[in-house]
Order: sequence, then structure tokens, then C-alpha cells
Amino acid sequence: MTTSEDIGLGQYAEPSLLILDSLIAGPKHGYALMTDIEARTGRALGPGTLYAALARLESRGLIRALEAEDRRRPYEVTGSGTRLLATQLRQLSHFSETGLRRLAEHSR
Amino acid sequence: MKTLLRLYPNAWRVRYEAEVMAVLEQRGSRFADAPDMIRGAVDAHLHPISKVQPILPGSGVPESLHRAGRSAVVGGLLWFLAYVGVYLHALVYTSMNHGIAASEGQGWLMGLLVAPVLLVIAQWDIMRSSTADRLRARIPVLLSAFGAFVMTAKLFLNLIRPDRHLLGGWGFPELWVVGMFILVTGTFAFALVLLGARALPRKAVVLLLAGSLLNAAFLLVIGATDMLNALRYSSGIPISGALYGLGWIVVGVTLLRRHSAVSLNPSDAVVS
Repeated sequence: MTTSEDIGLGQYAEPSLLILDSLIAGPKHGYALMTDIEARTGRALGPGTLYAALARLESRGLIRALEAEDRRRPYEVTGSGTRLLATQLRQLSHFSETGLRRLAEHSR
Repeated sequence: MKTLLRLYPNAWRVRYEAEVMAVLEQRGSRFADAPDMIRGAVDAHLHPISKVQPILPGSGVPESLHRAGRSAVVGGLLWFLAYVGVYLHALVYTSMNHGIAASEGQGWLMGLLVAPVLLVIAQWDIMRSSTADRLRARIPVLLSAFGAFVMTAKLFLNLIRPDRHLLGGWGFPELWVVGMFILVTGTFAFALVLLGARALPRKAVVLLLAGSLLNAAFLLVIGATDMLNALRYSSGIPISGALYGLGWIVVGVTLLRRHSAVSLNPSDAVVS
């Protein structure tokens, strides 16, 4: 099972997950990614963080750049990116379920 | 905020700068973005995008990539034909015992009027499309451009004044050969930068390096004295020139193939 640590996303693992999650809904360029992520999660990614994460994702073949529209270049998620996102979300889901169960036990 | 983009490495800027600028323009600059941009710049230096193939689909890059490829192929071919043409022409005529007049075979050299311009365009576009350090590549390209200017200007002057010998006269003998030497030397330096930056496949760049080195060496030793006779009767000069032309053809074909890959599927440009 590949994780973001295995492929060296490092400190940009979390922004990368947010980007993959946003792109799974359809291709987006930089600004659209920022607004979508902020609307969905409340997390405002700065341009430095966004493009550091995009560069990592692109160089690892997790996303691909599409034809540029003016200077705005949309990105779409690749098959590897989809698999990584699924793995990450399953791990988060498992973590969330375990945490909620423990919380319920603690509250009783 | 856009000034902070200068902190990023050249390779990163070639690939992402236009996009980040577009984001900053759409979103508006925020003071809070400054630390984020600086952190991103530090990260980009610590983790260079070296695993991304140097020539990437950036803003306008595929077009310049295509033009570089075309210019390199046509320029290289003209160069190749000019050198080999004069040599073969002389070989055929001499073997037929016809002897050869001073002006014969010079038609082949006309390709050298256009080739230098195309080869400088190719260098310029490769520099624009590549992550090779632009500052380091700029000097060789300028050197090549100067050589190309001297060469074509002198050949053109000879052309519009046919009463003058194509290869001589005008006070400075073989000035176009001097221009050619400068161009070929500039190409050698340019190829060295490409090799260091791993911007193109090693074999293609090594061929260009070998061709330009040999061509420059022969021009220095023989060409400056009697270029046309050297072309006719010494196989060294034609071989070195043909190798230089061939180097450019191979580089051009590589660029055109890469352009096709980028156009069809931008992800093909991302290779470790």
C-alpha cells in the first residue's frame, strides 16, 4: 500500500491530499484549486505551498498538466494519483472511525 | 509579491512562474503570502525539480520547442549539405578529369547563408524551453549570434557583389570563415551547458559537442587559409562540418519528438 510518505511528499503531504481530493472532482487550475480547497475545508493554501505540492505531485506522476488556457494551466489527477487518494482516504476513514469509537467509549 | 518569484530556481520558474503570476493576479497579492512564497522558494532549492524532464509544457513552451526542432533540423541539414556538397562536387569533377574552376561548387555554400540564422534560432528557443541555467546559456547563444551575423553578412555582401570573389576580397580575407568559427565555438559552449544541465539526451549533445569541436578545430587550422580548397581536397573539413550538421539534425529530431509527446500527452514530459 503506497502512502504519501513512501513517495516523498514530506511536509507537503497534507496540501497534496487536499489537491488530489479537489482534482478528483474534475481538472482545475491553480486559482480554482485554492478557492475549491478553501471552500471545502476552510484551509487557505498560499501560492508557495500550492505550487510546491503541485510540483511534487506532477514529478511523481500523480497529476498531469493539461493544455494551458492563457497562462492558467489546469491539472488532472492520474490513475496513480487516484489510487493514492483512495489509500489515504481509507486510512483517514479508519482513523476517524477508531477515534470516534474511542471517544464514545470515553464519554460513557 | 511577484518579485519573490525571483528567489525560485530557474528550472522552477521556467515551469511554474507564469501560472503563479496568473494566480497572484486573480487572487490579488496578500502580505501574508510573502512567508509562504519564501518557504516555497527555499523548498524549491532544496528539492529541485530535477526529476522532471527539463523541457516541459509551460506557457508557450511547446511552440518554441517545435520551432527549435524545425530550425535545428533544417539548419543542420543545410550545413551538412554545404560541406558535403562542395566536397562531392569536387570529387566527381576531379575523377572525371574535368578539372575544377575556382567558382565551381560554390552554389552549395549558399545554404550557409540561412543555416546560421536557423541554428541561432534553435539555440535561443532551446534556452527558452530548457531548465538549463539561462544566464550560463545566454553568453554562448550571444557568441553564436555574433558569429552568425558576421558570417551571413559577409556571405550576403559577396552575393550582391558578384564581381568580387565569393570567398575573398573586401579587405579581410575569409571573414565569413571567422564568423563561422565564432558560431561553431558558441555552439560548443552551448552544448556544454546543455550537457551539464542534462537538458537533452546525452548522445545527441555529445554528437553536437564532437561536431562543433572538430569543426572549430579544422576551421582554425585549415579553413582560415583557403576554405574552398580545404573543402574540396581535404576530407577532414567536410567530415567535421557534416558531423556538426548531423549533431544539429539529431538534436532537432529529439526536440520534435519531445514536442509531439508533450502535445499529445503533457504527462509524457514528466519522466524521472
